[in-house]
Amino acid sequence: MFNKKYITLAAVLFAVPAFSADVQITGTVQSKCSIFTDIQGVYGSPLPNTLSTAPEDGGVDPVFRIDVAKAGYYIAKVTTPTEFTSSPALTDSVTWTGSVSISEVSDAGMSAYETSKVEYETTTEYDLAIAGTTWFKASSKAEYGVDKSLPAGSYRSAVTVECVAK
Amino acid sequence: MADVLPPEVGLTVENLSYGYTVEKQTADDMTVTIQNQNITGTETLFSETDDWSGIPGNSIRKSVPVPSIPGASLGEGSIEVVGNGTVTDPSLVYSYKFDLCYTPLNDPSCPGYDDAMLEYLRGLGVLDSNETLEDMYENELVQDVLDREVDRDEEELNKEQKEESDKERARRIASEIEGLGEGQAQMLSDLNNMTSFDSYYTVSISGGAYNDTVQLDTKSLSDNRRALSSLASDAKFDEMIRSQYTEN
Repeated sequence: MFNKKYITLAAVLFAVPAFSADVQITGTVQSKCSIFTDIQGVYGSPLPNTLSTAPEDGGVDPVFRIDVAKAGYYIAKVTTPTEFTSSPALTDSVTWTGSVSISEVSDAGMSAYETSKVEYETTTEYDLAIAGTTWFKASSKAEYGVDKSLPAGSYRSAVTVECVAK
Repeated sequence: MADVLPPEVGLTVENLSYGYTVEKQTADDMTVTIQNQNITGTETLFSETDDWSGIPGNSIRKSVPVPSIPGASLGEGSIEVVGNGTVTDPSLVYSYKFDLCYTPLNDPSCPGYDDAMLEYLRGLGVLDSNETLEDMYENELVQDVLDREVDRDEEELNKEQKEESDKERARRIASEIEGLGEGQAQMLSDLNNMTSFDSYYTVSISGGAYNDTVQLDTKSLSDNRRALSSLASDAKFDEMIRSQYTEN
């Protein structure tokens, strides 16, 4: 009986206590798709009811580029303006038209983006299948009412560009 | 490529940036090759091909690293088009780096500078083929130059000594003048005082007319009656005074 107790005590003394801990793991993901504005757009006003970025209308088409470090992971989604971000008070509707095209490429294969692009409403999608830089040119045109003159003042709008992961 | 890259030796082309615009039908096959031959035209040092087959034409802007091509060996460059289509607005920019120590004589810190200098001096005939840089100071030409340096130093020393003796002489004269003493100083002071009399002889006072400022009008003046009584008092006073000297 005595031996048994002793053995039990020894077992208590030499037992290894059980600890637990959480080892932290952290990480940062940097985007492999970057968007840069190369040329700011400017509206020209060829007619009293029209604003247009087309050079023949006295405007400047905005140019932006998308750098893709890893091919096949992103879709470029470009939406031309459908409203002014700032303007004088308007009392009539505005009819918007716009387009997006590839103006320059860093790889000849990117030229194929133009034939495979998907367009819906005012949005254009490009599958960025090749790593490198692609330059895009957008155009925007706003027509006010039915031959109604736009109020004098400053007008602003924006092209929305997104890198959407597949 | 001599007219494209600078003439300095030690240039190494590291990168090529180019751009051009392709005009073509989408369905047509077309390749564009940018390349450079070596200086003798027997070897292609660099080649990059863009395949535009089956895709629409566009403008391309591309930067391509090249395998460190020595500038001196870079030969003719070309843009070759194969297929249907045209290339317009071509632009090529070579990026290079300059190795200062490509010629070790450019900088004493370059590796191999000593050996290059030795060869250079031997080429000039300053050193014989069996001489080293350590022997350079024993060379007759170098020694002659060093001797001339010594001669020049001696001339400068003599000139300095002459300048020093001139200064000593000036100090001596100054001390002699100072030794003339106070008598000299007193003499100078007296001379100065004498000259100060002149101011009294040569002084000029500005003159002018001082007109009367009091005007007296002609009027009749009445006799002073008190004066008569005063005269009587005066006569009595005289009588009293004289009475003292009158002998009784």
